[in-house]
Amino acid sequence: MAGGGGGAQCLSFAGCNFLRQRLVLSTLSGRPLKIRKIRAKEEDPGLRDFEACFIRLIDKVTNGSRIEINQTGTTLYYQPGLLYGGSLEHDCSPSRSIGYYLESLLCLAPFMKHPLKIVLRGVTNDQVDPSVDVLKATALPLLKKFGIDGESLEIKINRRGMPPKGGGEILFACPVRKVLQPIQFTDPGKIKRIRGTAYSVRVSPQMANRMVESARSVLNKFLPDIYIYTDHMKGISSGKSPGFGICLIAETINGTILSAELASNPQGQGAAVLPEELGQNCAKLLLEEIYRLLWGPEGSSEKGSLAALKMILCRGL
Amino acid sequence: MEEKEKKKHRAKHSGPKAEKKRKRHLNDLGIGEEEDARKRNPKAFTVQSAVRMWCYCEMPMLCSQVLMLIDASFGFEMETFEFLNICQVHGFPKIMGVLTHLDTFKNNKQLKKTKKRLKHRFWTEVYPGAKLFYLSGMVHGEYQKQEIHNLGRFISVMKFRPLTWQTSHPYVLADRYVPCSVPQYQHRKHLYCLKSGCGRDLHLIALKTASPFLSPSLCCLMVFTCFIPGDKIDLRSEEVRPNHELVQSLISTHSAIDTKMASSKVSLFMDSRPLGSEDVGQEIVMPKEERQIDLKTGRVRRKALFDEEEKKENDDAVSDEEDEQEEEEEAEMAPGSAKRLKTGVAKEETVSELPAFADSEDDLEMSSEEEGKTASEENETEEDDDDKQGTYGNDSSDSEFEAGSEEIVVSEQNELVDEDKETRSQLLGRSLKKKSLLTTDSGNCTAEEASESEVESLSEGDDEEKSHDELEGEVSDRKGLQHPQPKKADRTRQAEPEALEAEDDDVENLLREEEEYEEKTDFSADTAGALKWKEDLTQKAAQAFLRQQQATPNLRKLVYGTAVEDEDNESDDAGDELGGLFHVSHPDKESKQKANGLDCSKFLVEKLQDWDLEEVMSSIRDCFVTGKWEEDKDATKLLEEDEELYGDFEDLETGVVHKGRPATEGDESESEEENDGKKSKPEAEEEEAKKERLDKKRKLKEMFDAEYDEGDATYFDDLKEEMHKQAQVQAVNLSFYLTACLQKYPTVFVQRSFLETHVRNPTLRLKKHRWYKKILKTRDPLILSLGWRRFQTIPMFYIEDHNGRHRLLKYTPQHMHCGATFWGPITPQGTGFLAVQSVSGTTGMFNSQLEVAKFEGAAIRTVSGIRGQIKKALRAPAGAFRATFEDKLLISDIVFVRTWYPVSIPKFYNPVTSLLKPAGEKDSWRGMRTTGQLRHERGIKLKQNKDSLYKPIVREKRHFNKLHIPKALQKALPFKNKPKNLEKKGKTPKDQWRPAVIREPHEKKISALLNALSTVNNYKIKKAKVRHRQQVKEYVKVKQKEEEQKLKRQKEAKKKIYRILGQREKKRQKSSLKGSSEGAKSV
Repeated sequence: MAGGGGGAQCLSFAGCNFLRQRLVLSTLSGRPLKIRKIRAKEEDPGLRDFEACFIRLIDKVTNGSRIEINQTGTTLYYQPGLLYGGSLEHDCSPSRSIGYYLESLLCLAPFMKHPLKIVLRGVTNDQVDPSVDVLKATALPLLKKFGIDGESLEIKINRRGMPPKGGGEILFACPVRKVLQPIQFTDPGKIKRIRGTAYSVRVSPQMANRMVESARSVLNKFLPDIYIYTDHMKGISSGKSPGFGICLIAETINGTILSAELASNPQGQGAAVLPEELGQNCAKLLLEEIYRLLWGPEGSSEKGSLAALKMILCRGL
Repeated sequence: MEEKEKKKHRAKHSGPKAEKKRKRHLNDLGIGEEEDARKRNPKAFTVQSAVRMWCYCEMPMLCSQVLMLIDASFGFEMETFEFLNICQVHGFPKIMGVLTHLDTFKNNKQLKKTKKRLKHRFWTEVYPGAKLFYLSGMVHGEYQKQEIHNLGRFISVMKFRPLTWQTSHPYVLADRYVPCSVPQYQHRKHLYCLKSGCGRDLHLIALKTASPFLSPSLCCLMVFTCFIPGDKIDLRSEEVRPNHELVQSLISTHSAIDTKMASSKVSLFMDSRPLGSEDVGQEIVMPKEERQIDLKTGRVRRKALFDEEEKKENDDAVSDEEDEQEEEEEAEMAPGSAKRLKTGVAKEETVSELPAFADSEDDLEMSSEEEGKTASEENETEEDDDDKQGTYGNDSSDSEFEAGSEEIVVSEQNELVDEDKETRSQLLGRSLKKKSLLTTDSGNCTAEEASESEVESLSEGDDEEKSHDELEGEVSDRKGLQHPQPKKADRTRQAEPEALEAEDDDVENLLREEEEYEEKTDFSADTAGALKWKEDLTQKAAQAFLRQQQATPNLRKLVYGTAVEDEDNESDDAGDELGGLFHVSHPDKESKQKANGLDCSKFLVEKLQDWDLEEVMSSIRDCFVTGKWEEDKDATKLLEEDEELYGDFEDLETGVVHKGRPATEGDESESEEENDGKKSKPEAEEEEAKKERLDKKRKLKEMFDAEYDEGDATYFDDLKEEMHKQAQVQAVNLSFYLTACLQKYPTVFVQRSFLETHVRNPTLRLKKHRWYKKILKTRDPLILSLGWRRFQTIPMFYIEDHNGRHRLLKYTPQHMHCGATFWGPITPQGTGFLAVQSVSGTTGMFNSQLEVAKFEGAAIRTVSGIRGQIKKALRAPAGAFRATFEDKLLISDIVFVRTWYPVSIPKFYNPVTSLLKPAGEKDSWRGMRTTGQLRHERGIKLKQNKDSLYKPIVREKRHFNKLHIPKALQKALPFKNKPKNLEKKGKTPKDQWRPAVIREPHEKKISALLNALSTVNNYKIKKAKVRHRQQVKEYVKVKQKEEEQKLKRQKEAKKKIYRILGQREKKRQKSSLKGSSEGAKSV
């Protein structure tokens, strides 16, 4: 009987953690949401720019959402509207990479009214969030497993943007599915191949090759089937800041995908990183991931939440 | 046969009809031990639907199998077809017809004819070959046992495909609800427990805790907790009861009503009185069955007539009524529908069955209970809350002492709760006891109560208790359970010390509690056998205790509320004070991590392992395809095995015989040696060998199949396979019994549920069904079944104009789709919401200059479609304006300007809660009535606007002016189109006039004669012509006949000739064959 405004029961949370999940789930379940005490005791209270940007994005893809934020930004009330979709554009705040926004969109996109086709601008690769490359390599196959496929499902990197200034641009398109297929996926299988992308923007194209070589040197001890693409972007498609990085994808015979990635420090922050070191570390990270798949209590780190959500929803909303 | 069914019945003004729907849910894995039939559909149960459209509109979504009872003596009724039409929306479940009243046919021929007719009609409606069952009639007021048995068997072996609707719309079918109160919530919140069946798999149940809990036709509720009673094995041993349970009360009401039966004064049951004018319902015609007689009045049957049949059917009285009835009839109640007399519950054939929930008041419970239970027992179950408390108490205490051997009575959840209570009661001391006693008023009781009541009953009369116990003992005895039942006396004896102990001890520690529980569990293991879920009771109890402790009512909290404490906590946090005024806030690192942490999905590896080390590397080496495989997946190993199996083959081309490596030889010799040595298990050896052979065969067959099928493996096959796989994935644990708790949901609201989380304005696209005679009116209440919801609402109909605006319609179009929007719950997909707008037309358009100014530039048009635009207001008469049109207007033309204004949608949302009514009154749900109905009921006559009445249209003859073409235009026109104004010839001058001829009398005579002669001649010629025609006709006829005969002759002749020719040919062939063979012989 804790009825909110429109008779709907309002969920209440404190703190800004899991903001994205909360908003996404609230949108999917149609329940209003109230988040209090967002960084209330910090020197810089309230929502950060990237969170505000995310809320704006949610507002864009929905129709009829009501969002209220108090003056200090420490309290957020969100009454979800309907997922509408359509062709959209969004400028993401460069303080988080596009992956931050894209992850949530991946959860929402199949349930729109119209197929979603969105252009996101901002930082494509950074050190904090899963990069667009990784999401493209991991999340899309996962969605396909649930029956969300077709030509229109794609993530396309038009431009790469590295922190701090960004300037990247991606296109994400997803078809609409009313019902997802349930899957049974218990055996991860053995890793059959490793793929990857080494990218470099506004630095020497040799950086990518150096990373590839060093990563291969680690991984070759386990598997011969390794291919790491090098992607050097020039001109307008190289964004505004220099940087380089590598992401590695390990694929098993059953279609499980493990990923690891590393990116160079943003310009003007931290010490310079050697590409060899980066490549090697990334390869080790991948091995770590594999190790966790085998021994660890938690499975693959990032995509677990997406998979779980889709699994839940596959019986229909 | 656990199947029980209910009949769907129409309560109308008169006329009987028997239509039964049996509904069943296929459930998870086979349980049945007794019967093969049951193995397939173990948990099938039936639901009977009332014959009201708003009752059975949900059936197609709900059930996997529908039985439609068709009264053969009456024919099809409209409801049958309406139901089939409803099925088209959500997809067809399996539909089976059951013809009844076949014994009313005296004439065998007619019976056959009727059967055939009905069957074919049924086939055209459902599908050709749809199963139609015949119940040939009543014997002593009962259906014939054998037939019913067959029917039951037929159903129970039926295979069901999961309905797409069900697989895509998760649901939980609640078969009962039990109000329960958990101590820690007692002081302010109510907690209710919903016992439900037929959920989905575990995932979904887990989901249900997170997502709105939607009960059919109810609304979204939030589930507080869900309990799944044990794992599957437990389910089998424990929850056998659901099998025997019928969910009859769920969607029930009238039983079969048959006025014919009534009029013939046949008594349905031997001991029941003959039926009078009241209608009679009988139901459930399964081997193990129960029947109820419900007496009811008045109801109309709507016979379905078809064009070809209409001639034959002469019971015309019905057809008028049919017109009146329509699909969307709402709230049309027979006044006495609530009057429902339960004359008796006849039960038959005791099956080893466990008692149903003792706590529910539904009659279905009683039905599944034992035959042996007497009226007194029935009374008991029907008794009011106090008594129920008593039974609860018993149950809870039973659960302790008998360790659940017959604890199936209470749901698992209850048990847990009870245990919780028990622990709490014993741990937290008696001080709170009184209070909790006072607070538990919701028909549930805590363990203290139980113990206390027991003690009291011991000291007092304990008649009730005793009788109850006795009954229970009886029941369990009848059940034939293998578990030894503790005698009643034992139980009470056990109860006594326990209760006393509880009373005595004020403080008990957890350890002791644990011990006690251990004892109990031991006991349970002794008595009840494999009750796995009870094993970790100690742990549960400990956890429960901790929970209780946390939830221990803090006096301060109680007095000052939680807010104060929160503040306190905060102030505690801020320890440092500056100048006694300001707090220095030290954000707690830990909590910050929790509440305001970085929202990132990336997993941060804190410490990388040293991947240069060989050990570490080797730890994951097997994760790669290059690493070591498991035994059963290793390629080399598999190859070897294959070789063993397929090793022996002969290369047909080269003739080389390949011998397989005698891999098993060594083993065999070894085993032989072993055998020689031991000679103990030759059979096992043999079995092994046999198994091996079988394996080999199977493999070969698989190979063959693969090869054989590969040739014609089509896209369709692939698709089918995929579908099959999907179905397997989806069909996991189709059914589960679970208990869900709804938080803050008073029982009162279960009766009439209003909580809906998301009510807005969805839109629909709808079309009036072609069978519905009327059109729907905007602002008249309609019942909608949307998803799992069923509610009444007020839709507004609209049609979309070309400019995308939605124009309100007063009525739905006759044959077109139109949109509708209403105030209701948002359904997930494909719904948008919009503001509906409507049009209003005016004639004397504006009244002032200002008004005109507002509409300057607006488009206007006349009735005939001449378009124009409002230009400027005129000064002279107020409201006059200048406008331009594409053509000249007449003074009589009416000019319209279309204006728009938003229409608000009435916020009316009324869930159809008929399912929540108590058993007998499900039909008594009343929704909002239409204005028409209200007017009709109250006898209010509508004051009609004279202008809006339809009058005969008088069309005056219009006079159009002559077409005038301007001279300039005439000149420009091509000659063809030029008006040809030929001048009339002037009068001929006199001199040009021809002189008139004046005949002489003689000439006159001649001409007259000639005239007469020619007339005669003409007549003769005419006559001759007619005759000639006649003659020709006859001649042609004769000729035709001759021709025909000729043709016939020719044909015969030809036939003859060809036959002869053919014979000759044959002969020749024969002879040639013979000749050759002879020739061969001769050679």
